[in-house]
This record gives sequence, structure tokens and C-alpha cells, in this order.
Amino acid sequence: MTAILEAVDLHKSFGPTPALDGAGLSLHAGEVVAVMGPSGSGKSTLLHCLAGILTPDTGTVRYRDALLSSMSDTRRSDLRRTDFGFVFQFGQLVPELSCLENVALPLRLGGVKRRAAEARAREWLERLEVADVAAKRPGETSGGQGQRVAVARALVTGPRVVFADEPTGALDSLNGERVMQLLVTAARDTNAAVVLVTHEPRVAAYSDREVVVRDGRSRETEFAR
Amino acid sequence: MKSWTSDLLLGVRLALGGGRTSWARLALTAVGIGIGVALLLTASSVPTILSARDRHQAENQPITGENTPRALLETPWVTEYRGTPISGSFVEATSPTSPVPPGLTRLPGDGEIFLSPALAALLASPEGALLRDRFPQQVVGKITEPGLMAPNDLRFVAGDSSLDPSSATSVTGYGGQPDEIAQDPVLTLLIMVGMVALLFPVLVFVGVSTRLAAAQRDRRLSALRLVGAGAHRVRRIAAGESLLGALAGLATGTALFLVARRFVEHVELLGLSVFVGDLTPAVAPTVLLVVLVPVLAVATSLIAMRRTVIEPLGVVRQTKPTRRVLWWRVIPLILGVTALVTQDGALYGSFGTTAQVIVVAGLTLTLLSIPLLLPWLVERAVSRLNVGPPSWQLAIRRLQLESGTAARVVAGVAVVLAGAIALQSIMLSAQSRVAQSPGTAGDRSHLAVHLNNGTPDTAATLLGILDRTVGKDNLLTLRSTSIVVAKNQFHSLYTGTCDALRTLGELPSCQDGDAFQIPEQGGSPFPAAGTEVTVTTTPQSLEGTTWTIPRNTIVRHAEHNYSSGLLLTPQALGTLEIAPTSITVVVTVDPSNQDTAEQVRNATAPLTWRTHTSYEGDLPPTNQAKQFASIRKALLAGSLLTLVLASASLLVLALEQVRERRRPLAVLAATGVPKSTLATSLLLQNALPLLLALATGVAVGGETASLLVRITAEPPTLDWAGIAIMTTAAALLTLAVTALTLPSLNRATAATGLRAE
Repeated sequence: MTAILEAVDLHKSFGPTPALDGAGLSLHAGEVVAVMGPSGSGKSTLLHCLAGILTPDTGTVRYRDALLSSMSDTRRSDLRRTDFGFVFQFGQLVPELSCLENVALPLRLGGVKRRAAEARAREWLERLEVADVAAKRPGETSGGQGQRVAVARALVTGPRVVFADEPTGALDSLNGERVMQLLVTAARDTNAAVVLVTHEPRVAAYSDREVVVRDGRSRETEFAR
Repeated sequence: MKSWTSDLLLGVRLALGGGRTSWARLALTAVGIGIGVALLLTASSVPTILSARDRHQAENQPITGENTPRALLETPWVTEYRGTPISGSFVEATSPTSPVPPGLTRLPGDGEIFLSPALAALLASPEGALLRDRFPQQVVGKITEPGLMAPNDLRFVAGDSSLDPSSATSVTGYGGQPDEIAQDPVLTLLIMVGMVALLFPVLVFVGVSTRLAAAQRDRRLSALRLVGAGAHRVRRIAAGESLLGALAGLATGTALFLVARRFVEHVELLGLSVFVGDLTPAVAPTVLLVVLVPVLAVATSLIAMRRTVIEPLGVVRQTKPTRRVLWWRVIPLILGVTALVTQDGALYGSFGTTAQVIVVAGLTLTLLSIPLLLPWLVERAVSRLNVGPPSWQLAIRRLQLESGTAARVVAGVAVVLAGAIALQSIMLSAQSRVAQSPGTAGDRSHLAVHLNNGTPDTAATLLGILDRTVGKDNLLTLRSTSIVVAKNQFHSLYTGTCDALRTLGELPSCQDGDAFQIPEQGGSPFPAAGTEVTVTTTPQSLEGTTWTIPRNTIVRHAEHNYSSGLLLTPQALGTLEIAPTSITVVVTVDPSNQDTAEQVRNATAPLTWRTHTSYEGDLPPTNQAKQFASIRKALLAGSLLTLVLASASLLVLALEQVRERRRPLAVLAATGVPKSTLATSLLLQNALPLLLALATGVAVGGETASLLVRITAEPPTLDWAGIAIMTTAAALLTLAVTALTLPSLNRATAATGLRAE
């Protein structure tokens, strides 16, 4: 099976500090991969390089045979809107917009009319069991509700890859479990692949396989769930 | 185009959608921009005010003609009340169709008077009690706007059936041409420098206001980048946000202007006042303003975003921004200085439109360099500072992480300072060049009462009145006439006792028979002693009698002479006879009690136009000096308004600084950091950039001032005392404004503050 996203021999430094030192990863359609490792190991940097947010100093990232580093900023932005979805620990929702508007935002940026975009956004909010906060602003919701809204926003465009960086990091275990269940179920339903950065084995347990990053290098561990 | 519109609208939606926080930010931006817009609208009204004044002046200019059957006889009269002049005229109709002066509904009959609203209000007030005796006529109406130059004009038109047709002006109508006064190029330069120095800071504050809460906005835009908005798109969205702020600012500014305008007639700033109708912005500058403010807001926002390159990771990582570069920031300074250097001494050449444009452009570029250089300078300076006490450490580390906001806050003050230094230096130059005859205040202990075209009866009446009012011992009488030197060239001749003559000049030794000559500074040469001259029988006449200037005439060059001319004791007159009607009675008054002079003026009021009073030695200013005085007043009034704007804008910016930082401030307070440490840290965060801003302002202002003075071909001199006062004032202003943010800091650090965050 051909990988839809593949990173090879990535090197990335911030000033004198190396973050990635030959890391790599391949991702197939519909699979959930957990990227694990201690704090400062480079797992978030790897995710950012995979998503085209950061450009590696050396090495290549290919998405469906296209080299991300050779794409223009506009093309990478388009990709983030149409093919990728993001769930971070916090902060990714626009505080000025309501939850419904936040979820509809990627669709509206893609040219979908407001009414249609909000109808689809409402469906996703219902699916993630947060339809009741649709009219509220992110600041008025609980942490768990906010993360489910973020998941809805990540999935509303029908992305091929969802990047989740510590998605349950700011949640209690019960809420964390529920968010993970909803994220993975929804991703599998839409055949989206998920790159899941976490240091919690409990969260990593939702993945099909694990990649461990240590000192900027990655080591793949394949196992059957 | 559709995507542009939708992006701009999304920006507007983001600016509005954040609940109280967004509204507070928008309100602060609107107020910050609005104050500037209100001031710019006022400045845009200056052409209308000036043309209205010209129109009023022209409409009130009498058209005179001799032997006209329906003429209105008019004799102007100026009196003074506690240092303020009151002007008007006595009129007498020669026919029922005699012209009516502008602003009057009809001609006043004998014993009737029309008063300006300001004079009527003064007479009705307790302060005007002493003035009431001077206008005993029956008030029959008010002079309306067409008959006045300004709402605070103290003016009257009184009917008097005893006017002297030989001396009164025959007015056939109103609406002549006002006197054209050629303007000195240094005054043109002064106006140009004034406009740039006062208005440019306003634009800087407008630009800075659009950058309020930039950090929050950057995070918001990063979130948009994360969900796939391209860089161009994010810029358009940001432009939409700025546009809304600018439009809200325009609306707020217009509202502020319209509200303030309603009360403008009740406001007097340094003696200047304007009619509501005249405070109307001219079309061209208003259109420019309406276009410029949004363009400036959007441009400032886009230029600022070039540096802040909104990246998707802004939501999760707030990395240290890249260091500022210097090279492009010095370009405006180099261009500005070059432009001003090329105009060295230009004022004595053809100071035409091109030169004026170059000077304005040079000055604007030089001032523009301050807000550009300051962020770089602050960044470099604080990066070298080391840690100290906790408050210092908090302030330094904050500035090292992000000094842009603090630099922006004080940049406006530095521009105001530099502009004020440049303006002050040009004003000094203009003063020494144009205002050499600013008019001198005479001896306040001698009030001279002059009799105009008197008759023996009026002379006797005047002496009788003054005798009864102040007593004989306080009266000295002078008679005067003129010596004709050539056509339209006269010298004054006074005669009186030694004591009376001493009120005209310093005469250490004097006895009857002495004659003194006091040359007029810069005047035509005085005929030498022993020369035969013609002495007019009445002051206005060219005819006269031949007379020889006494050989014993002593020339006096004392510095404190109040009058110039020939001063003769009675015996020195010889056979010369001077009409007893050309008299001036010098009344000794107590200079510490102004009301004595008012009582004298009141006592002579029944003689109306036949007398006028002045302090001995009072010299009226020249026309150019009057122009200079008006421009100076207007510029000082403008400076005051700019200072008010600077204070208000500073306060808005400082409050926003606290608001933006309330989360870390609340956390620090919750972890036990004393409020005094936080307050000191906040003060230091403004004080350190302020020191650099003041240094930059003084350096750029001083250099600009030197270059501007060189344009007038005068040696560059700086008023260091003035610079020190302005610098201290700017420093105190900023510190006072920072102190005003302390209540806001208290709220942010209150126990409930952290819970809210």
C-alpha cells in the first residue's frame, strides 16, 4: 500500500538547538499513528514538518507524491484547508467567533456559502455531542467541549490527514477518553488518517501503530491492536 | 473582488465578535483615532475660518465718498477695559436711506446703542460693573454675526447726532476691499512648519492607535492560518479589522467634532474664538481625511504585519520576534535632512512653491524618522540591559521580549517634542526678523487723555471733568502739533511744563526755556537746531507758520523715552502759538490699581468720540508684528490641542497595554508579587523607552530646527531653556499618564482578576 504522507531523514534546528536529527514517518490512508516520546524529543516539530507548517532544513516530506517543501505558501495553506485538519492542546479556535462559526470557518474560507457551511458544521457538532454550545464562544465552553469543537472543525472539510498534538493534554481523563473516542471514530468513518502526538500511553492506545521520537530521531514500532 | 469583500467582512466580524473584549478594544481604537480625526477636522476648518474672517472684514469695510447726500457719518472709537480693547463707532444718518452697518437691524438713533453679544454679556456681568458708566446709551439691539469678526468681539455701534461732519467719515455703503498685507516669507515658513509640526503627530497617533492589541490579533490571525487561510488572505482579513477601527474612529471623531463645535462660540483659546458656522471643514481636506485615515490604518496594519509574518504556529508558540533592521529606517531621515539642506538660505532667494514643497516634505520625512527609528533604538538599548531588582527585571525582560508596543506609545510624544522644538526655533527667528516692532507698553502710571478736534469748550469741559475726578495735582497738560519736514513727513512737537514733558521722556535736568529733541528710532532725520521749519496750526493740516528750532535744543538718546519729537517748555516756544484745542491731559494714576484708569475713562465718556485715552509711550505694533502675533497665538492654540491629543492618546495606549497584559499581571499578583513591584515595572516599561524617545525627539528636533533656521539665512541658535522645559513637560506628561493607568492595573491584579482570566 502506498503512503499518502511520507517524511524521510528530516533535520530541523532552531538556532543552535537541533530538534530533528534524521526523523522520518510514513502514513497510510485511514490509519492512526501515535508519535510518542519525552518532552523536547522533537515529536511536535515532526508533526509541524509533516503538516507543512514548518519547513525542514534538510530531508523531504511528500504528500501524495508532491513535495511539501517545494509548494508555495498559498498551496500549503490550501492544503491545510482542504486535506489536513488540526487539533491542538488549546488555542486553535478563534475566540471572537462562536463554536458554530469556528467549525464552519474552513468551509467558508474554501468558498462554501454561509448557510451551507453552518449546516454542515452543525451536523459535526451534533456528531461530536456539542450541538448545545453552537452559539457560544470558545471562552464560554468547558475544556472538553472546546476540544470536541476543535475536532469537529478539523474534520468538517473531510480531510485526508488529521494532525492532533496532545489533544487531551488539557483535559481530565474522562473527557480525554471521550474526545479520543469521538476523534478516532469520526476519522475512521471518513477514512482520514490521524497523526497523534502524545506522551500518554492511554491516548496512544487508540492508534494502529506507534512511532517513538527521541533526540530528534524516530523509531517505528508496529504492532497489531 | 468577491473574495476581497468576504475577507474584509470576516475581518470586521472578527473585530466585532469577541464580546466585551472585542468591543473594549474597538472602543479604545475608535477613541484613539477619533481624537486625532476631531483635531484634523478642526485643522481642516482653518481655511474656512480664515476665508470667513476675510469675508467678514470685507463686508464690514466702509465705502466712503464725499458730498454724498445719503451718507452715514461715522466716527470710530476705541476704548479699553482692564487691558481689553473695545471698539466701535458713533454714527449719524444724514438721510432715512443712509446705509446700515452689517449686523444691525436699523441705525441707532441719538442716545441708542447696538452691542455685540460679548460686550452685552460683559456689561451685564459683575466683572463689567465698572464699564457700565461708559455706555449709558439705551441698548436697542445686538450686533449679529455679519457685523463681527469673532464671537468674543467687544463691539458697539452708537447713534450720536453731534458728529463733526468735517472729521467724520462719510460712508455710502459697506463691502469694500480689506487691506492686503504682504506676508513675510519667514511667516510663511512659520505657518508651514507649524502645520507639519502640529498635524504630523496627529497622524502618528492615528497610525499607532490602529496597532492596539496587536499581539492578540496576531494570535487570532495565526489560528486562521492554521485552518488554511493564505498569507495574502490573512492580510486582507487584518485589513478588514483595521478598516473597521478606522471607520469607527472616523465616526467617533466626527461625532466629537460635531459635539464640540456646538460649544465653540463659548470657548476662547488664547483670545481666539470662532463662529459655529465658520468652524466648517473645507471639502478638499475633509475628503482627504476620510480617505487618508482608513488608508493609513490599513497600510500601518499591513506594514506591521510584514514583520509579524503571521504563521500558523503563532497559536501554540510565541517565539521571540526577529530583530529589527536599521538600514531602511534611516532613509526618511537622510532624505529629509538632504531636502532641508538644499534649501539653505532659500528664504532670501525665491521662496516659491517648489521650495515650500521641499521644506514641507523634508520636515515631514525628518519627523517620520522618529516613529521608525525608535522601535529599533529601544530594542537595541534594552537588549544590552541587565537584571536588577524584581520590578526592573520584569520590565527589562518584558521589553527584551517585545518592546514594539512601548516604543509605539512614546513615539508620538517624541514627534510632538521634535515638532515643538522646530516650531519654537522658527518662531524665535521670526520674532527677531518680523516682530522687531511688536508695540511697546508705555508708562502705566501716566494715562494720557487726548482731545480729538476739540473746541475751546470741549477742552474746558475735559479739564473740568478730570479736575473733579482725580484732582488738579494729578493733571499735567501738554499741547501738541506737528513740524512738516516734507510731504507726508511729520515730526511731533509737544509743549508743556518740565513735569509734563517728563511723561514723554527722561529729562534729568529741565527748566523753563529748555528744548529737547528725541529722535525716532529708524525714523527720518530730525531738522537740526536753528533750522527754519513749518509748524502746522492743527495736527492734520499741512498749512502752518514758519518757525526756527531753538538753538539750545538738547538731543536726548535715553533708552526709556516713550515718545519722539520736539519737546518744548513754554518759554522755548518764543512767538509760536499752538491752538489750545490740541491738548493732551496726562493723568497720574496708580499703576497697581487698574480701576483708577477705568474711572478716568468713565469720567471722560460723556465726551464720547472727542477723546481717546492711552498710556504714555504705548506704541502700536506694526502690521507684520500683528500678523506674527496672530500666527503665534494660533500655533500656540494648536500646540495646546496637540498636547491634549497626545495625552489622551497616550492614556488610551497605556490602558490598552495593561488590558493586553492583564493575564500575566493577574498571575504574578496571585503568586504574591506586590502591586508596588508591578506598578514600578509598568512605570519602567514606559520610562525607559520614554528616555530614549526624549533623546531622539531632542536630537531630531534640534537638528531640524538648525536646518530650518538656516533656511532663513540666520545663524542656527537653539533655545535650550525652551527645549529643557518642553522635554520635562513631555516626560511629566508620560509619567502622569502612566500613573493614571494604576487603577486599571489594580483591577487587573485584584483577586477576582485572576479568576476572570
